[in-house]
Amino acid sequence: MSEKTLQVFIDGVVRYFHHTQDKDVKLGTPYLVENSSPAAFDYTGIIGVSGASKGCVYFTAPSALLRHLLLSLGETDTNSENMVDLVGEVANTISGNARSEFGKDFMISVPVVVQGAPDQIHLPRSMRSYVIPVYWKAYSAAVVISLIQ
Amino acid sequence: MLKFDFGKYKGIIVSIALFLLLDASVLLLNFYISFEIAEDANDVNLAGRQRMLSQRMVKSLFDLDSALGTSADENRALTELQFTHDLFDTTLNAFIAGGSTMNAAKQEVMLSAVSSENGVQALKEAQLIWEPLHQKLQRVFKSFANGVTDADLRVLLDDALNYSQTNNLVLLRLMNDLTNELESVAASKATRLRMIQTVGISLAVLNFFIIMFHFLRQLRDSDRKIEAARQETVDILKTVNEGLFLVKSDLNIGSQYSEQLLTILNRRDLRNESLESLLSNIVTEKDLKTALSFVGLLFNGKVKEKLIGDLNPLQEVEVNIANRDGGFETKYLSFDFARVTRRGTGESGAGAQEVLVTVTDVTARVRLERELEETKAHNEQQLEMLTSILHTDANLLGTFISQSFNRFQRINDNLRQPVKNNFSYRQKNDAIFREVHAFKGDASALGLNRFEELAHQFENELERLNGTHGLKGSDYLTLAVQLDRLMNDMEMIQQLITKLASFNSVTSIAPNLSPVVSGNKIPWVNLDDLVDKVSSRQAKKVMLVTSGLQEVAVSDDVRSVLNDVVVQLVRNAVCHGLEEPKQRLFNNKHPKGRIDVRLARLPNGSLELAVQDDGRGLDAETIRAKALSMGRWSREELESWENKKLLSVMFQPGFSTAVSVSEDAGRGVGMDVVMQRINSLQGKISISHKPGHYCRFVVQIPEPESRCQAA
Repeated sequence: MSEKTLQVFIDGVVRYFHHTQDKDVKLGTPYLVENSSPAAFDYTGIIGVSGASKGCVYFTAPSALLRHLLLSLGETDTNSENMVDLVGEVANTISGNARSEFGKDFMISVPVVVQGAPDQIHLPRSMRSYVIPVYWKAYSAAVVISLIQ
Repeated sequence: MLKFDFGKYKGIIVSIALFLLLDASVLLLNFYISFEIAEDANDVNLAGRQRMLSQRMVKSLFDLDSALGTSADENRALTELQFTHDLFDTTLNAFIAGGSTMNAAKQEVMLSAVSSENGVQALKEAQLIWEPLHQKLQRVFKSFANGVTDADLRVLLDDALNYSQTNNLVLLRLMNDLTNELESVAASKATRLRMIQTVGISLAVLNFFIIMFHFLRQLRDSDRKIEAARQETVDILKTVNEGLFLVKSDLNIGSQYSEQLLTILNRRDLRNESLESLLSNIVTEKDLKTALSFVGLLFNGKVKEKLIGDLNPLQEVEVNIANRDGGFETKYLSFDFARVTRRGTGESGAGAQEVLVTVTDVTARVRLERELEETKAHNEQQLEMLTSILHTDANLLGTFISQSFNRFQRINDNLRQPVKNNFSYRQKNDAIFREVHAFKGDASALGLNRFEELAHQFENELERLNGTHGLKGSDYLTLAVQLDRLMNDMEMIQQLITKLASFNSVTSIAPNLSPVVSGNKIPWVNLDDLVDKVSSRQAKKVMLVTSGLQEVAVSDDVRSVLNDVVVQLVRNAVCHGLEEPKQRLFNNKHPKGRIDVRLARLPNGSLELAVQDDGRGLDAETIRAKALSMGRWSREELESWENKKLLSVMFQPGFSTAVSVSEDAGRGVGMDVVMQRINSLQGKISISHKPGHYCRFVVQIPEPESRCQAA
C-alpha cells in the first residue's frame, strides 16, 4: 500500500468537510489495526475497491458528530435515516475523489452504510487496516483503509 | 433479394389455388344462370301478357261494336283494339322467330325464339288461330281508315267478333300453355343453378377440410420438431459450463444465452443489452475499445478470422463485478469470438451474420497460477531470510521476534495517541525513535541486515518529520506504511521459525527455537556477534571480555532491559570510545581495543552492569559543542556547567557526537534508550572516564523488592 493511495482517500474526507460551514477538520496520526477487531463508531459508510488494489475503504463516525454535522448543514431532523444518508454522502465524496484520481485503474463501488463495524464480507481477512483519525470540533471519526495490492 | 422455398409450400399453394378456382367457377356459373333466369322471367311475364292481351282484344272488339256510330267512344275503342292487336302480334312473332317487343314499361326488349318443344307447339297452334283473326282485324282497321259506312263496318266487325268468340278460349289456353312452359323452363334452370352451387360449394368445403387436415398435421409435425430443437437448445444453454451468447451486427446481444453466463457475470438477465454496455462496467476502457473493434472486424467479410485471432484482448482478462454488499468480486474471464455464417455464405462470402461469444471463467486456474508464482516469490524471500536466520542463535531470534512485536505495538500505540501541539509531535517522535532504534540495535546484534535497513529507513523518516515545521497527522502516512512493512516481514520470519520449529521437533536438533512459541527464558544477546559486525563496519579491532552474564541469575524483565542497555553501550564503545587501530598505535596502545562487560550481584542484592572500553574517553569540549548545536542551551549556560551535568546531556534525545549518520551511530537516541530502559527498572547509571585512557558506564538495578517499595 503506498502512502499516495492512502492520501487520495484521506483527501476525499477533507474535501467533504471543506464543503461544510465549519471547515476546521484535522487529521490524527495514522495507525494500524488488525482486521479481526475493526475500528468503528456508530455509523460506517463503506466503499468497495477493486482493480489495482482490492479491499475496502470506510468512513466511520459517532452519532454525536453526525448529529452536530447535520445541524451545521441546516438539517434540523437528526434521525437515524438522515445520519445514514450523511455517512453515505461522505463515503460518496471519498469514492468520487478516488475515481477522479485513480481513473479506471481502481474500481470503486457504490457506498454501503452499516451501523457499527463492517463485517467480514467487507474486510480482507488476516491483514491490517490503516486508521486515520479525523477530528472535527470536539468529535472523532476515522477513515479506515483496508486494501491489498 | 428475398428467396422463397416454393417446394416446401407447393401443396398448400396448389390447394389454395384449387379452392379459389372452384369458388370462381361457381361464381361465374351463378352469374350466367342468374342472367338467364332474369331473361326467362321476362319471357314468362310477356307470355302472361299475351293471355291478357287476347282477352283485352275481344273486349275492345265488343266495345267498338257497341260504340259504332258514336265518334268519341268509337275512336277510343278502335285505338285500344289497334294497340292490343299490334302488341299481341309483335310479341307472338318475337316468341316464334325471335325479335323485339315492348315491355310493361314501354321499353323495347329482345326476345329469343322459344326453343322448347311444348312452347313451339303452343306457338304454332296459336299462330294458326291468330292468323285469320289478324287478317279480319286488319280489314277492320283498313275500313276505318278508308272511311267506309257503318253498315259495312258492322259486317266486318261481326265477322271478327264471331271468329274471336269462337277461338278466344283456345287462344287463351295456348297462351296459358306457353306461359306455363316458359315458367317450367325457368324453374328447371334455377334447379340446375342450385345444384351447381351446391356441388361447387361442397367441393370448396371439401378442399378446405383437406387443406386444414393436411396442413394442420404438417404444422403439428413442424411444431413438434421445432419444440424438440428448442428444448435441445434450452438443455444445452442450461447445462453448458461456459457463458454463450450471440452478438448481432449492430453489436446487440441475442435473446438466447446460457444460464452460466448470468452466473459468471453475476447478472439477472441480459435482455436488450449491447456488448458495449455488458463489458463497460467490468473491463477497462482500453480493453473495451479493443474488443469492440475486434468484433467489428469479424463482421467484415474481407478479414480472415484466423489472421485476427491474436487481436482478441479479452483473454484471461481481470474483471471486477460489483456485488450487492458494496464490494467487488474479481474474476478472470476468457472471451472467445467465432463468426456465425449461414448456408450460402461461407468464409469467402460476406462477413459474419452473427458472432458467437464463449465466456469461460478461468478464475480458479489463474488464481492457482498466481498463487504458485506468489508462493515461489514468497519461498525465495523466505529462503533469503532463512539464510540469514540460520546463522543466528535460535533462542536469541525468538526473543528478538517477541520483543520486536512488543516494540511495534508500542510504536503503533504511540501513533494512535492524539496530539494537540507540536511539542506532542516531538514527544511522539522521540518515543517512536527510542523503540525503533532499540529494534535496530537488536537486529544489528543478530546480523539481520534487512531489518536493520528497514529500521534505518524508519529512522530517516522520523528525522525528516523532526525537521518538518507545522506537522500534521497525514505527514505520518509513510511511517505507518513502513511500520506495516516491518510487521509483515516480522510475521514472515515468525512463520518461518514456526516451520523450522516443527521441522526441528522431528529432528530434535533445536527444541527451543522460538520462545514466542515455547515461552522459554530470554537469553543474553550475542555480544561477540554484535562486536564483530559493528567493529568490521567501523574498521576497528576489538577484543570483548565478558564476565558474570551467564553466572548471575537474572529475571526475564531485567534481562530484557539489560540486553537493550548492553547492546547500546557496547555499540557506543566500538563506535565512539575506541580509536581506530592507527590512532591507537600512535597513542602507544595496542591496535586492538578492549571492551569489558561485567555483570555482578552486589551484596545489597542489586545488579551491577559495567561496560568499559580502553578508548579515548569522553571529550567535554566535543560534548559541549554538540549540545550547543542542538540549540536547547546557550553557550554561557553550557560554559557554566560542571562536567557531571555536561555528561548528562548525552542522555538527551537527539544527542550524538558522531560526525555522520550510519547504521551504528549518529542518531543520538542510543543513550536516550539506555536511560529510558534503566529508568523503567528504577535503576541508575554512572559514568567515569579518563581522556585518552578509558570510559566506564556502570548501571545499577535495584533488587525487585526494593523496586516495588520505590514504586
